[in-house]
Amino acid sequence: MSGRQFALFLGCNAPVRTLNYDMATRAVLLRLGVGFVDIDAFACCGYPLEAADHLTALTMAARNIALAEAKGLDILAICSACSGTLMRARDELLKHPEMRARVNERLAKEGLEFKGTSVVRHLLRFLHEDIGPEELRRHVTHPLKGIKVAVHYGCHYLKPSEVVGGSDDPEVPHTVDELVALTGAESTPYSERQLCCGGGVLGYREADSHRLIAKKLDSVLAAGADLLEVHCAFCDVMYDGNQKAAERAAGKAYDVPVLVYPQLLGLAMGIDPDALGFRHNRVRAKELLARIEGVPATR
Amino acid sequence: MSRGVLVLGGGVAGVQAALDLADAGYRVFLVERTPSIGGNMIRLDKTFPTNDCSACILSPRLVEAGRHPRITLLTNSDLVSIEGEAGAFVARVRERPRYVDMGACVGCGACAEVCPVKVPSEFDLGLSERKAIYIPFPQAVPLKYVIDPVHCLKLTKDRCGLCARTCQSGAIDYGQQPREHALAVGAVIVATGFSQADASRRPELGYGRHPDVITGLELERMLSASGPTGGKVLRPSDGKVPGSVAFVHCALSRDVRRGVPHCSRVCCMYLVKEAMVLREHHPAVGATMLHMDLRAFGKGYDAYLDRASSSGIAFVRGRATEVLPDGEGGYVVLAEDDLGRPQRVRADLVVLGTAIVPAEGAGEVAGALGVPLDSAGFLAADPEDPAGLRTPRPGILLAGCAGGPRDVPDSVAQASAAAAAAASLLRDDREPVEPPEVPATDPAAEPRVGVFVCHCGSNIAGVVDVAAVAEAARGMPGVAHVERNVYTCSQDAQSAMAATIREKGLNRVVVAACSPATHEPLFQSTLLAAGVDPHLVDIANIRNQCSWAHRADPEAATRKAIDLVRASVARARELEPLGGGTVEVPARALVIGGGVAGMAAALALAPHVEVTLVEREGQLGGNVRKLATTFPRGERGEDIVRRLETALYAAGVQVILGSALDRLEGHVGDFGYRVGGPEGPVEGRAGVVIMAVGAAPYAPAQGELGRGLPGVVTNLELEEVLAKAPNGRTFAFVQCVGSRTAERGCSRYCCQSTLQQSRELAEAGNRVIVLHRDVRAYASGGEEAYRAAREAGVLFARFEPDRPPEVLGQKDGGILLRWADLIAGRTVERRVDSVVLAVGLRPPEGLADLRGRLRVPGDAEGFLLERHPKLGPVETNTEGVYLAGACQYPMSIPEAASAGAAAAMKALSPLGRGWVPTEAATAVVDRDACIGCSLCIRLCPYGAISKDAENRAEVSAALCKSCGLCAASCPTGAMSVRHFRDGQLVAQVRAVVGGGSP
Amino acid sequence: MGSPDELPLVTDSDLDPGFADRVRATPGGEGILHCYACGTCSASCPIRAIDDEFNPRRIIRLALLGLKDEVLTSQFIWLCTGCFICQERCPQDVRITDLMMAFRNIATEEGYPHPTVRAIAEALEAHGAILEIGEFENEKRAKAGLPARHMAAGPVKDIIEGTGLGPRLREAKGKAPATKGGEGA
Repeated sequence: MSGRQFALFLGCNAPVRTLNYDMATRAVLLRLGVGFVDIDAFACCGYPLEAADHLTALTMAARNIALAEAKGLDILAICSACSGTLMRARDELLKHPEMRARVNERLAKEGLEFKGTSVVRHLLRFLHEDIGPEELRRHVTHPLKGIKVAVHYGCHYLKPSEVVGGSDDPEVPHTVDELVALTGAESTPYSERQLCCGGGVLGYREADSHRLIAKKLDSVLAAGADLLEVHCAFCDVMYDGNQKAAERAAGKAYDVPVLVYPQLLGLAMGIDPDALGFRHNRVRAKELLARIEGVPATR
Repeated sequence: MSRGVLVLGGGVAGVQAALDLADAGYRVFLVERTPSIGGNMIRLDKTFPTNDCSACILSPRLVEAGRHPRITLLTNSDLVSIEGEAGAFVARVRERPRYVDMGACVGCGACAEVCPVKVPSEFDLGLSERKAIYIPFPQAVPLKYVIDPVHCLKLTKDRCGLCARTCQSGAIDYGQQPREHALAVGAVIVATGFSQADASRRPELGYGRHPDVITGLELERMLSASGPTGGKVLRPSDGKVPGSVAFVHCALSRDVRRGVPHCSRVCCMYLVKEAMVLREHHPAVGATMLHMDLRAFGKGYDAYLDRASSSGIAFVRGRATEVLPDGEGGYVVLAEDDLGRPQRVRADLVVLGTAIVPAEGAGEVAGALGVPLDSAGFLAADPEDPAGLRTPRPGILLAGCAGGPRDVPDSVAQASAAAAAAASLLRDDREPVEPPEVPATDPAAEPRVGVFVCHCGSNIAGVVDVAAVAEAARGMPGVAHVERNVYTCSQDAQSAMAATIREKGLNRVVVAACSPATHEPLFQSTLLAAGVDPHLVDIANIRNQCSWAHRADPEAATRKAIDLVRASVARARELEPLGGGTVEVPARALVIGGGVAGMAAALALAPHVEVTLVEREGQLGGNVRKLATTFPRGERGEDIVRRLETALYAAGVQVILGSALDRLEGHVGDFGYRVGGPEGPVEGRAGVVIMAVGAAPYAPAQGELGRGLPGVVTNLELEEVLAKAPNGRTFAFVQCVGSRTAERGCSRYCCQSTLQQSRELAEAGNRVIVLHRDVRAYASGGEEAYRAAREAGVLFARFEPDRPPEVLGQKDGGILLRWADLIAGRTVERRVDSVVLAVGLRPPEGLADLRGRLRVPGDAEGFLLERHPKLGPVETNTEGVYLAGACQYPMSIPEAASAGAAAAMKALSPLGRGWVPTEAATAVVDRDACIGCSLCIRLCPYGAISKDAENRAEVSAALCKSCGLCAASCPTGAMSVRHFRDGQLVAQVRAVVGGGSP
Repeated sequence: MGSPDELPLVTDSDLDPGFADRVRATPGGEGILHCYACGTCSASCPIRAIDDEFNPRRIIRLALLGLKDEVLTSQFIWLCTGCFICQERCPQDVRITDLMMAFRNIATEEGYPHPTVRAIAEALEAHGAILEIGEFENEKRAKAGLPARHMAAGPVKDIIEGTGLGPRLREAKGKAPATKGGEGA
């Protein structure tokens, strides 16, 4: 791998609630020889405040990007809400000089400036675009044969398509299916593939978000999938962290293991499940792991 | 050698323009990119609103274009370059090789039988396969084979070569080279047609992913009896007939993000037509339309939709959002209707009305011609041309969809108008046209009847045992020749028929096929070409009146077909040659009405003949003169009128203002008129009459929507208000006032006009609301104008017809208005400064009387009745009388200007030639038997009978329409109608009921 | 929604005809006038499918009519989950998701922020993130072999105070948005 380094953007949720995502990402990037650093000054991407005030949210996003720019690094974000927010912010600031000036006025107090020199991407876009399925497949030593994966693209990974979508058409995306296929697993079609996790409404009408989780999991089970794949910390919080709450609200059990993509890829690369943070998966994936050949048993 | 006109594109518009020009005496080069003319229209099964068979109304024209002496057909050809200027161009055309010698090919098809290569058929939109050597469709013109150089094994890999070895005529020529033609032309008419946008641009609708999601054109191929499924609608996935079909309107149109921003104009009507025709083929199938604004703006269109709705087709007003598989092999289409109810429409087949976009290669054509494209990629017209058909480069004209989406009647009218524009540039290149010599056929010779039984693909043969009919015909008395044809109307069958008639000395012909209404003229001209009097043919309609009507009982249908043929043969033997005759037509035209249409007609004729234009108002310009602003550029009506007026006087047209017609009578070639004007009466004679008397605005009754209260004005009165530049006030427009009622349809101009007025008011700082039933922004630039009006802040609110807005009275110096806002779920009461009633148009005062004088019928609403709604929009059934503009049906300014020029072009045929053929099958009096009772004179609707010096009835051949009323009523049998004699009709009856043949 | 006879009445006193212009001038609201009420947004919306109170097409319509108070004090503008499906599919590029944010921004500005927004702002000012990453959390991270995180609360607080959002939220009139029908259908 080239000597390129990235600034790893974790967001608010991953460092606390989805340690598995944090761990698995590092383990996989290390194995692939991709350099990354943590910028401690990173803070919330600003997404939760978009509902309150656009300028505030935009400034928070711009601050994070400016921090990376100051170190001359591009950003890889593991939470789709973060990558989406940061990319939209960057796009807006590049297109609207007056807004950029207002934001930079505020950033100047911290000695920062947004210039647009750092590119922001989601981790999976980097894997698909820069490394590519062919190359990634060469690192696969333990193909996940017979494992049926329901891919949850999530919303902010695909939309707004002209800003974040890459080569994916949001109605018929393909990149993550390819990333899953290279691990040897099978991407299973299911009726609610496009459905949002409801994370955006969690704080405003929890019952609605529980209903959305239930709808998704009903569909995943009906399709006969073994697990739900996610690549957004917020989606992970919803489907894994809140699965129990959704079960209570719906009055039924789901027991669907939720894996973040680096966990899937890591398993296929022969990385130890503990290193991939499986102990932090709220919905136990023990049975699933047992089915994968060559994977050491885990508690 | 005279210069000709280059027509680029052989669809309905190109063919219409070519025929108009050729009939008037001009040479035409008709250049078509594909191997056959016919365009998209020949793909259609039926056309709205008459549900005519498309091929039936179009293919006679294609055949005519293919054999017209003044039309040179260059198919498989492209325009390479053009040099020169209007009146003197040189166009270089490259004819790509067919690898088939057209002179040797007889169209037998043996080559295609043995060709091993199968390729998806372009004509059938991939729903069937063709060979590498092929004819695109059975009625292709020219009906010659062509080799596809991309897939032919011999041409690509030097293998195979089977077709050349099989061809008995030695027609295959692998070494054929392209031919270059340098054509001297005075004008170019671009009629390159349209293509369809790729429906997979909205993947959630499932095109390309779910097998049973198809486009409207693909459905047409299935509905067509000569198409890939023989007229059955079958699901591509399992070949079964669907139980229910969902039709998606606006699948890609009116979509600035992933589709095209413009309205494709024809889909509202054609999707409903498809639903109706589908249910004719499969009565048990359910149909649901998912639509937005229903753009049924033309004559009879609203009534058509009402019929569809009454027949059980469901209409859901909600944009189809997603097509999901239902898990059982079918689909669910999602939408939300105007009342906010989620819709889940179950369907086994989904049909998408995709968008009309410029034809492939249109950009290159525009580049070669030096013509700009508009924002949608269509060729752009000169904004100053009232008819929107002249491009900024003089001499380059547009017709049909090359300039933007059009339906068939508008394409046809525009094509004729473009032909008129071309004709004015080539005044000196018109060749004289002599009347055809009708061959003398000896009436005393023994009748030798040739019987041609048509399969019509599977239209007839799918029900009737054609072989049995032919066999039965062999035994009928007088029959000297029997043969069967797959399509008797096709070009090769026609030439073969002429040859057979000559070879076998046939002097009577029976064609057992379809309707004489569409095809009699075609067969009559074939007889003429074969040297036989054209009236010696009889057509037995074993399709519309037999195979179509008795699909469920093929045996009975076959027996009936045999009876029909027997009756035809019996009549044929009794037919007499009628010869031909002509009426002289002097080069003088009368145009009645000086609005946009009338002026356009007069201007188009002025270069060729003397023109008199009569207008009853004191000035020219009709309704348009009074408009302060017009769609789409906000030009003042007065300015548009002044341009036309100036040109009119400069062209030497005799203009008589302030004059009503005191007298108007006569027939083609000899119309007489008198007008009483301010300077005294003026009398004159003319060869043709063009009626362009316009329409009158509806006058709302006192109290209707607040009429009578200060501040309530009509949209025409608003012009005065606009002139005072109001600002900071609130206006509410109410659309469809006096339109879309039980007696009156859509008035077509008002949505576009309101879009213009409302946007101008909003941009000037006023608040504007438009209350409507549908926003019919169908015109070029219309949808864009709708968006621009919204961007300017105009609020659009739809109301249901049974719950119109109410004016509650005056309030605070303004008007209190109430309406039910369904989308908001609120009843809204607002005080506005002014209510503007967008009034409809009605037939003008005096129209019934005027048309009565010329025996032109009116339609159900009282407008003038055109000869045929699709292919005859500016002609009447009365020879020599044409119509143009809003007196036919309300229309916009460019449509009226087009119609006027189109009417002029139609009139130019008789005017330019100097003659018209008279109807030969007229009523005729046996003077010895006539007792002078005058019953016939009183009954004749055409005033064709008068008394001679000896008190006997006398028929004017020029006026007689052979309706037969006189002959049926004559108490002594003195009156009979040639070609419909008692003896002939009795022979038919006897042949059917038995009692031996006479 | 019932027959037209049952539609509640609104009159001039309920309407602010300039509201649509206000929305248009708010970031995210620039496209509101493009709407031609086709219903694609409502038919695509995952929230609408499970919660009848949320109807994006209707919300846009109410705003265009000028029913400002109803829109700003309602619960329904807070129900959008931000998935962008409507924004992708809207044929007139209204950018509905952005528009919902614009409504929320205006509501917050006018003194009707949703309580959750106040809670979010407080958390961000205190922790630099939605969730506190304190000693306890960093210990857990260490055990998992992950580097400690110290979210920059100070700069975040400065930003939130600096734009005036902080004070505005604290001063909010405290009118809780009217809830229609409780926790959804």
